[in-house]
Amino acid sequence: MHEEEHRYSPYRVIVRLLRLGKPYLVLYILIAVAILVEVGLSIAYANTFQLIVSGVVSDEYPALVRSILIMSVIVVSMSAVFMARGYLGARLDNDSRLKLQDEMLRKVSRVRLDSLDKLHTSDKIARILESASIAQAGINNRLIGFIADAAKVVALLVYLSSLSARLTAGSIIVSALIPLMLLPISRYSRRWFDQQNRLSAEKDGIVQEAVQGGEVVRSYRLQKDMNERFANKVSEFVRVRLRTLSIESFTGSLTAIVPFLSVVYILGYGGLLVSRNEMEVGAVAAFLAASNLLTGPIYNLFGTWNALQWSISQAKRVFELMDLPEEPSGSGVAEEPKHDGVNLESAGFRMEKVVFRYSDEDLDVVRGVSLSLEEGRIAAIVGPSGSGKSTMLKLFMKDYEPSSGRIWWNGIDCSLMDNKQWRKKLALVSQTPFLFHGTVYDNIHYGNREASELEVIEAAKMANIHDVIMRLPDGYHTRIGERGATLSGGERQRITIARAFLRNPDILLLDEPTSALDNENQAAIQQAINRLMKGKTCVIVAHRLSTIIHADKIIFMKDGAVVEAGTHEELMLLGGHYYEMYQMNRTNEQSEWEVAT
Amino acid sequence: MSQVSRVSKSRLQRRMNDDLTRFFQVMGYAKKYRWALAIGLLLVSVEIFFELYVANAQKIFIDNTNEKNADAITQFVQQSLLVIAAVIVLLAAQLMLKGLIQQFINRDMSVHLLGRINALPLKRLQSMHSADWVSRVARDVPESASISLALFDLSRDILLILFSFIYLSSYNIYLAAVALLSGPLIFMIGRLFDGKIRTLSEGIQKREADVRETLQEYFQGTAVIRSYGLSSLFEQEFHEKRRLQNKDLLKREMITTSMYQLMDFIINGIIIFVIYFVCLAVLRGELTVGTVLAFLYLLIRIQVPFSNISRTLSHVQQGLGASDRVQAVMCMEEEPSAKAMTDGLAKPSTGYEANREEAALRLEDISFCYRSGEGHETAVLHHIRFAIRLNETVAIVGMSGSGKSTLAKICSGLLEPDSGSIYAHGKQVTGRLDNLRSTIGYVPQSSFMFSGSIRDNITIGLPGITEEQLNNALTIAGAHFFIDKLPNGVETQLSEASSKLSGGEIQRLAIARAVLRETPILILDESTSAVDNEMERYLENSLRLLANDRALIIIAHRMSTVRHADRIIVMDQGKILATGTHEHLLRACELYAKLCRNDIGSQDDNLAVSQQV
Repeated sequence: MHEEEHRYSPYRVIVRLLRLGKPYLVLYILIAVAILVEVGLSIAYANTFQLIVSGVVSDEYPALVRSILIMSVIVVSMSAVFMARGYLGARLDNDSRLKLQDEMLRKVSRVRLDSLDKLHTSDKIARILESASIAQAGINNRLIGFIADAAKVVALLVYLSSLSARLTAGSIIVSALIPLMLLPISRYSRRWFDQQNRLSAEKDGIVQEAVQGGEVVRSYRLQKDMNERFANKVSEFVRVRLRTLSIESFTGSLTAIVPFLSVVYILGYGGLLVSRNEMEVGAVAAFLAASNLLTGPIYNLFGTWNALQWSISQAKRVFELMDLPEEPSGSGVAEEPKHDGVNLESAGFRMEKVVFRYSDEDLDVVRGVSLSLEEGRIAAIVGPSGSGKSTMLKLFMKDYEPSSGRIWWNGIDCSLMDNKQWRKKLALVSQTPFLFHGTVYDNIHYGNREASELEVIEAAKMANIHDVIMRLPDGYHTRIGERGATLSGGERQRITIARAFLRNPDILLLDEPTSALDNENQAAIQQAINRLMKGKTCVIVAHRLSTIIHADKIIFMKDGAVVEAGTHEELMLLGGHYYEMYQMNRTNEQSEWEVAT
Repeated sequence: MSQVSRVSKSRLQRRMNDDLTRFFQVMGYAKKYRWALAIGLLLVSVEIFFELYVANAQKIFIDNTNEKNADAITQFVQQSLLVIAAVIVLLAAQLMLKGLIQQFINRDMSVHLLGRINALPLKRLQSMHSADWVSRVARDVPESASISLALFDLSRDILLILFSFIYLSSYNIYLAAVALLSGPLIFMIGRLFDGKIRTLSEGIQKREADVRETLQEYFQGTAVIRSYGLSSLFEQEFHEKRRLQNKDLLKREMITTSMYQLMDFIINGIIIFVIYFVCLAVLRGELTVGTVLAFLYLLIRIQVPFSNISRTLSHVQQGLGASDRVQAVMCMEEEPSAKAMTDGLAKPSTGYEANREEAALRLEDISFCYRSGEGHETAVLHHIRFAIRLNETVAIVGMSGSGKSTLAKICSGLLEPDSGSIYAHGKQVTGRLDNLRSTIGYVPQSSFMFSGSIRDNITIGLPGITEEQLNNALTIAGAHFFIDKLPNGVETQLSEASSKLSGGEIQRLAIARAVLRETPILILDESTSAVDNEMERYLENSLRLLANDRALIIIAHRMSTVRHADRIIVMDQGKILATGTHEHLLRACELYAKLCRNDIGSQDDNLAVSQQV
């Protein structure tokens, strides 16, 4: 916890935040220059009034016309500069934000799955959509403001100190004092901003769940509960927001009023000097006019830290996401050798004392598993639920990294292989098919994006889903709703099988549907899976006796460890766990058989 | 622009009326806070006072210094310090109230909106991506609520105009009129851009939802995306959508900037124009130089608020663009039943007494069809008639796409039939689907788990559940087997992905959730499809116990489950093909016999293929 706090201390965050601004330094300066030009032009504009008055007083018509012309030129160029600044500013904010967001997404694709899953989707989205925008825009604005303000202060200081050093020093102190006094507030505002950001993402999460769980909400009439849950969270959010708001209101009010404080100072002290005949009234008036331009920037400069707190708090959320541990991706150097019979023995899978536990728990889910499977063979993993079977598949996928031990494929340590390369060899057909919002075609095509339309259709045919697709209103181009909501469970399953066909993997990982979804689907899915398995190295979390019996190797797992392994015949002779399970299932399937006949 | 200028006056007027209605719709949420609003608006005068005070300060100073009156200066300084202190407090209070009201509107509107979303029929809800709904609550509501800020800005500017006008007319009423007349011109110019800004803003908000959709798919499908190496595809999709949104953002920025510039341009043009003629008058000796200066000062003062008003109104347009997306949901038709609930009125009573004489559930002549987004209609159910009594177990079987799940959803009140009537315990369910739901427990194949503890997920919506009741439900569902092994038992937190629980475990939690509700009717739609054989047997036993005193509808494929049913309904192409016991159907229904053979046959097929492998 302490380490965490240190890692995201405001000073470290600000340094990283500055790094986000670095690539745009030239643009910052350009925009700051535009701001300065605007200021210069508005001063010139005010001065032309003076020209006009003196022109009128001295009764010169040409001077009047000249001044009017100058004014027009100034007005036109002000508009031009303003437009240019608006364009540059918008481009800067849009481009820099997009770049940061792209970077975050790329990073996310490398983060370890279990770390990523700890954050709620709505939280991750808020970090990318909101936090990134606010952090980047914050640093952009602050740095531009800083450059422009600093330039103004330097320029004005020279001029004002020539008028009166004492007044200058005084008004600097007056306008710098209050922001400096406010510095301690930053500790609270940052803490409250942190809470506010978290709550904001959490309330989005409730909405997301209320919508995605819409069916449960309706069938159990949880509307009231969901509404209350949301209302409570929003109220909590608003309570924290009111705290940050009170700080914002207070500082906002000070920002509006403090410049007048320095006016009072100048008038009061200047008036005193005049009455003591130490200064001319005209000089005080001139000083007053110019000091208006000084106090604002000084106030801003000294208030930068407080104004940055909101961005710092959001930037912290960006960096937290960016700092999640990455999957060890391997060097990518180790390419699988084209095995030419030399080391056939090492061809295939080998697991060596693999242990896995979740990073936040101390219970081993997989406990020292060692096993081997030759290329082209089928292994069936069986065992009671919760014995770690599915975790084994995740280890093969490299979704999880073994806490210790190694996995080898064709003699190469998997951890050395590039994740992308490795996953290209694999396809996983899981029990809970995941479909994306989009068309049927896209969902299959994701299996292999180089595949042609014909190949997609061929894959669908192999998966026994082509006929179903053709019956859909727009065939392959039917949109299937979120998570494939418009399809039945069996149809979704077959689409993921078609996806796996299109991929044509070397290794097939299969989380066997324990009991397929309905009678027709069951046959169709089983047929599709059998086709898919042909000629591939298969690891199946198996439930069906027929699958199990004909596997080349049966691995019986219990409490995260392999307790028995071998062929059906070997394990039956052993008369242990497997034998027991087989007997029980057989009577069950037997009884079904009897039912039908 | 040319398009804009062609807008006829009446259309412009109509649009402004429409804007006003929408504006008041948003401000309606502020009604509850009218006192805060009133005080906040009163405090706007503090700002005006301060501005006048500052303007006056210089005059006082110059008068006193010229007279070398040091005492008066000291006095003035003291007075000013007091004024500053007071104004800081009052202005902070005003800013606070302004933000407060915005936040309260934001809160009330988003709670109201989610209430409406929760009250929509399921069909409507699923017609849009969840990210779109979330975006409306999370992004469009705050944007709409920001409209309330305009009220403060507008009243400040209107007051400023008023004061300046009074001041100016004390100099010269004609000049004051000229200055005032330029105001509406500036104002009208701003309105020419309104439609464009509003449309663009709505588009930008729409794209925001689009971007969220991509991100949500990306995060919820991470596992699949990784295994198929699709990350870059989704990154590109995000980039592209965001780029399009940026394009619109830039466009809007440039339109508003051009609008401001055009207004400033006109203001300055008028000033220069007036200066020229006023100065000519001075040269001719008709006016004095002092009058010119004072006039210029006030002219600027009166025009700046006008330009501010115009700017404020274009901000309002941005809010209106977002509020269009909020209002679209508010206007959607709710389920007839849900009104009472969103209005927070009494929890609807079930209104049903379990009646032994009547059928627990009876469907008469039910038809249903799905409409796709493109308007295609697919008839799913045709004139279904069916009834079930308490103490009865009915199984529904049929080929994929025969309409079983749709029928289950209609029975459980999730979908509303296009025609036909439903009777629960002898009473007709007319529209009030939630009454039907109160008497039914429905467990789909994959049930949604909320983030929170296992306990919360199961007891949600049921206050005052005892430990015993909970444990009993968990035991019936066979969930205690794995929960007991978890270090934190029922307090185990389920993360959003619930990645540590298997599909079968989640199914068992869903069954426990339904069992705990002790509804007289229970509908299980393939709700044990992912549990293993051993657990399936355990659950079959539980179901037999549950069937006591209940009406049980089961959609399942395992013959061992189905054959124990008192009655089996065979569905085909949205119609009931046959009804009867297992033995009866085996003989009488060819499709049923085929389904049974298929179930067993697939094992054969499997055997054969496996041998080839």
